[in-house]
Formats: sequence, structure tokens, C-alpha cells
Amino acid sequence: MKPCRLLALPFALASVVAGARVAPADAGPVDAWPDVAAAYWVEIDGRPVWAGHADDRLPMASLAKLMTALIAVEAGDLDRWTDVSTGAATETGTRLGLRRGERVERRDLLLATLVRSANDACRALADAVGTTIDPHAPTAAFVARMNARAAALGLADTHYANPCGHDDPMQYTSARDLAALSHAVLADPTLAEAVQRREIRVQTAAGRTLTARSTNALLDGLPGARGLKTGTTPAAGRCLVAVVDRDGRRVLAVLLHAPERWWDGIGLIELAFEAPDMPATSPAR
Amino acid sequence: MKPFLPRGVLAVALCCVAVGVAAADSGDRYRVTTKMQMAGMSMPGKPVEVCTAHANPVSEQAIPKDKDCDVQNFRIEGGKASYHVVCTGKNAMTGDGEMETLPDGYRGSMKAQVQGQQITMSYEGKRIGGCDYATESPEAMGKAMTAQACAAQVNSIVSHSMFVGPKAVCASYKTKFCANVDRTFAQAEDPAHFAESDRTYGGTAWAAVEACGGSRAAILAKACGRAESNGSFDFVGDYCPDLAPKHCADADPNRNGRFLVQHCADRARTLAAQQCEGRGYTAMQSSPYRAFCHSYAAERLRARNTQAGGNAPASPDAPAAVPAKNDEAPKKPSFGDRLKGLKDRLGGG
Repeated sequence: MKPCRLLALPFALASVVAGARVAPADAGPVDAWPDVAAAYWVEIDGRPVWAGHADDRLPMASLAKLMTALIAVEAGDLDRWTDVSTGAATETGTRLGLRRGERVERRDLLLATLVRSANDACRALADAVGTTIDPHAPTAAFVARMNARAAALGLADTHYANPCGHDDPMQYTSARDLAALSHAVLADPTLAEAVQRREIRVQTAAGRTLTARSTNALLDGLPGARGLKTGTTPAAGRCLVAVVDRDGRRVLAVLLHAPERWWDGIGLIELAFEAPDMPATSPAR
Repeated sequence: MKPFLPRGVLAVALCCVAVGVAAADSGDRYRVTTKMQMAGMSMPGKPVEVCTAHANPVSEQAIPKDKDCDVQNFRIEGGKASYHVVCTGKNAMTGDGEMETLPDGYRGSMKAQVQGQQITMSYEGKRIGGCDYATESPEAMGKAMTAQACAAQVNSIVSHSMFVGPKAVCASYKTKFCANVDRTFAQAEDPAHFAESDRTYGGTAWAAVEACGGSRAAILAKACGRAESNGSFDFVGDYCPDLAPKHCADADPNRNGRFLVQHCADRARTLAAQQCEGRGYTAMQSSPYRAFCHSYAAERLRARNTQAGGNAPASPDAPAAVPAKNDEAPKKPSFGDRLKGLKDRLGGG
């Protein structure tokens, strides 16, 4: 990863900067931070406050796995063992290290998909569920279900061409759609718990143990971080969906193609927690 | 023009025979129908049942009026009466009315001039039975409802205007209300509690405190003192910024990152240069300055946004055109960065 350089902060400016505008309760979000990402979306307690290019169709990288995981959970049978297909075993990018023919529980594939963003686990999971729809073309059947689910969720600017987020002209989403999808993911207890895990331990049927850490660095250091998913590909750039809970309040931030997704994501989250609750008597900054 | 409020007139129509001497535990139940005409429009009211005291419905006491009204030329002949009424103040009006007793009830009407408009209000009450005046009269029911509302809200700090002040409808509950306010804010000298109260109730809470004889300024002064002594400098920065400069040197970067960034520019700049700038976030996991750098990231974003002109539109070009945010020449990537870049290019993550 390119080093995330924090610019020399013009503190003199900071002392006179007024807080960023927050959308009034009955208004749409404000594009207050136009340079953080190609598209972004920030909610406070479900209320969108800041957004930029929220409906632009952009590559999503591994954020596609949010939909993959949602469909896998909705399909059930998470305790069922599944064979790792050749296609899954040869997946590129981030991998758990699964081997062709190994048997793994769907639940572990789900965890590896969400926590480690492992493409081999993701493909194996999609194929396992897809086989129950069309044994002859499981991946395509699964992708069709992803698109159907997107339509059912009202994700008008989302389309999937593969289950794991590889770049493809027909693989796109928007920041607004990702926020809506994130709500659906967080509404499922299994998924809401999975996206918080910092590490996983997977055991194959043959007894081989695989461990992996989360790709979401926020889980290790940002107070209240509850997930959700990272994504990176050449076309999508660095992407992030972050959810942080503090003092009974929740901030959701979606960033697509954000060169400094960690620092700017943290900045957005910290500002979101500050913005609406700034004490009335505190001086404007 | 101020809109005419017929509520008062209607109310007195319903209550017109309720004034006077109430007979204990007994009264007459009437079904009262009202009708109002103004500007060529007729507005019939929904019939309501009302319990009135045993009293002559044709009397000066039965004239619909409030405390700012003066009844003049009241004349009574047999079962009929006529009068002129002049009201001043908020509901100023003049009117001429008449009323009469009917075999099973009463009727009456009034032609009123209200803010230049003529309004004719007529009413008729038909006796449908007896009632317990002590508990069922409009006054008694109104008092009971008020008491119920007061009891229900006495623990609600945001409802302070019901209990304290010139318009308090629950003035008799003031002691109880203020005792609750005192209890709630007994801990407000603690900075965390003060901030929580401020977040939860906002200015309304302090209005309640002041109305009950307390002082937000006095509580805040104590809270600021405690915050200074226990190192809660974020609170100092938020609520007593005048005290902030003297704590810049001793603030703990990890605990008071936001304070340092927002109130101690020199020290924050030095710390940021040493601990945050040029470091990737994933390399910060074990840094004791991580929390400070989080605050720094927020302030940096804010400052960067201001430099860029606030809400300037984002670049219309998607990924490839994400604006550069750094005037400095890019640093040579480390081995780890190049390795990560290779992984990124392979996809995933």
C-alpha cells in the first residue's frame, strides 16, 4: 500500500475553520468532503449527512462480498460441508489458501469471505449456494441471485458480474446502494457478528487449520469499530465500508476509490461523531 | 390580522350554566349544540355532553365570558335575558347576547364584533339527565386532566415551562419538579455527567435549572475545575476553552487528542510531525499515539476541506480522476508498500 502521508496540517487555519455543514434532519446529505473519495456516503444513526457522487456507478472490489455473504446466510445451511471447487482453489487476489477438493463448512467460508476477504473462500461459498440453484452453472446462478437480491433491496445502481468483486465493466455499485446493502447486512445477526471479527480460525474436514486476520484495520484501533468491509482492486481503488458505534450512536461511512481510505475514513467518522453533538456553548472552530 | 379564536367563546357557551353556586355532588347533564356563523359561513359544532350545576341557566353568571369581560345592561324578563358584553385584552370583542330557559334546557346566542368581523354564535343545551357536578363539571374534569398531565410530566425536565414561570399550569407541582431537577443535576458538576446532560437535554435542561433557582454557570465552573484536575481536557476544550492554553503542555496525547488538535496547535503540530505524518494507518496499530493521530486525521480533513473551498464540487471524473491531495513529491514506496501494491493489482482485499 502506498504510504498514507498525513499532510502538514495548517493549524492556523484549523483554529478558524467552522465545522462542516451537516444536513438538516429533513434535508439530503451535503457534499462536505469532496476530495476524500470518488464517491462517499456518511450516515449518523441512519440519517445521511454527507455524501458525494452518491449515485455514481463505480467498481466495488471486494465490497461485492457483502452481497455474497447476505445471500449465503439467507440460503441457510451454514453448517453444511462443501467441497472446494477447482475454480475456487484457483481464485486470485487475497486468499485463505484453500485447496481443490478440501471440505470446509459454509460458515467458515462465510467468515473467511467477510473477515479476510478471501477470494477462494468467497468463490467456494458462492458455488456451494449456486449449486443448489443450478448445479451446471453454480457461479452464474449465484450471480443472478445477487442481482435479483440487489433489485429487491432497491439498489438501482448496482450490478454484479461475479461474486467476489473482480473488476468487470458490469460489476458496479454506488455509495448510496452500498449504504443500503450495509443496513441489510447489519440487520442479520450472523453477519453483524462476523464483520466484527479481527481474526478467524478455519478447520477443514481433514483437520488442516487455517488462520487469518481481518483486512479491516479499523477493528484493531478505532474505538467502537464494528466492521464492515474493505475492498481493493486496480479499477476500484481503495474502498471501505466502516461502521462505528459510540455512546449509543452509530456512524456508517462508505468510501469508493479513496486514496487514503483509513485516515480519511477515520477523519470522517470522528467528525461525524463530533458534528451533530457539538455542545451549543462550545466555540465555533 | 390576528386570527379570531372562537375557542374561548365556545368554551364559555359550554360552561355558561356551570358558573354560579355549585350544588354538591349533583348537577344536570346537558347535550349542548353550538353553531357559529362568520363571513357568510356556518360552522356547526359537534354536540357535546356537559355537566352543569343546578342553577338558573338564565342569569348574569351564565353569560359566556372570561375574566377580561364586562357585562353591561343585563336585563331579565321572565325566562329571557339580554345583555351587552365588552371584552378587552388578548380576546378583545364586543357583543350583544340573549338567552332563555326552555322546558328541557336552555338556548342562547350572541352577536360579537371581533377584530372587525361579525360573528354570531348560538347554542342550545338539552337536559338529558343528572350528573355529579363535583367530578363531572367541565371545570372539575379540566382540573383532573391538568392534574393528571402535571403528575405525568413532573419528572420531565424538558417540560419545565409547565411547572415554573409565569405561564406554569402546574405551579403547585413546582417543588416536586424542582426537586427532580436538583436530583438530576446533582451530579452535573462531574464533567462527564455535565456533558451527558448537555447532549441529552440541551438548552432546555439548563433553562429548567435556572428556573428552579440553579445556575448553569456555577455548575459549569465546578465541572471545569474538576475537568482540569482530573485531566479531562477534551471537556475543558469544549466547555471552558479559556482555560485550555494552560493545559497544552500536560495533556496526554492519547487521552486528549482532540483537545490538543483543537486547542494546542504548536504541540499538536510537533506531535503530528513526529507520530502521524508519513505513517500508514496499518503501521499505527501498536503506536501509543494512535488515538491522537485519529483526532489529527479529523482535523487534517477539516483543514484540507477548508483550503479546498468547503463544499466545492467533487471532480466529475470517477476513479482515475480522484484529486491529488498532496503537493509534496510522492515518497518512494517501501518494500511492504510495493508488496501490497502488487497484491492490490492482483485483486481482492
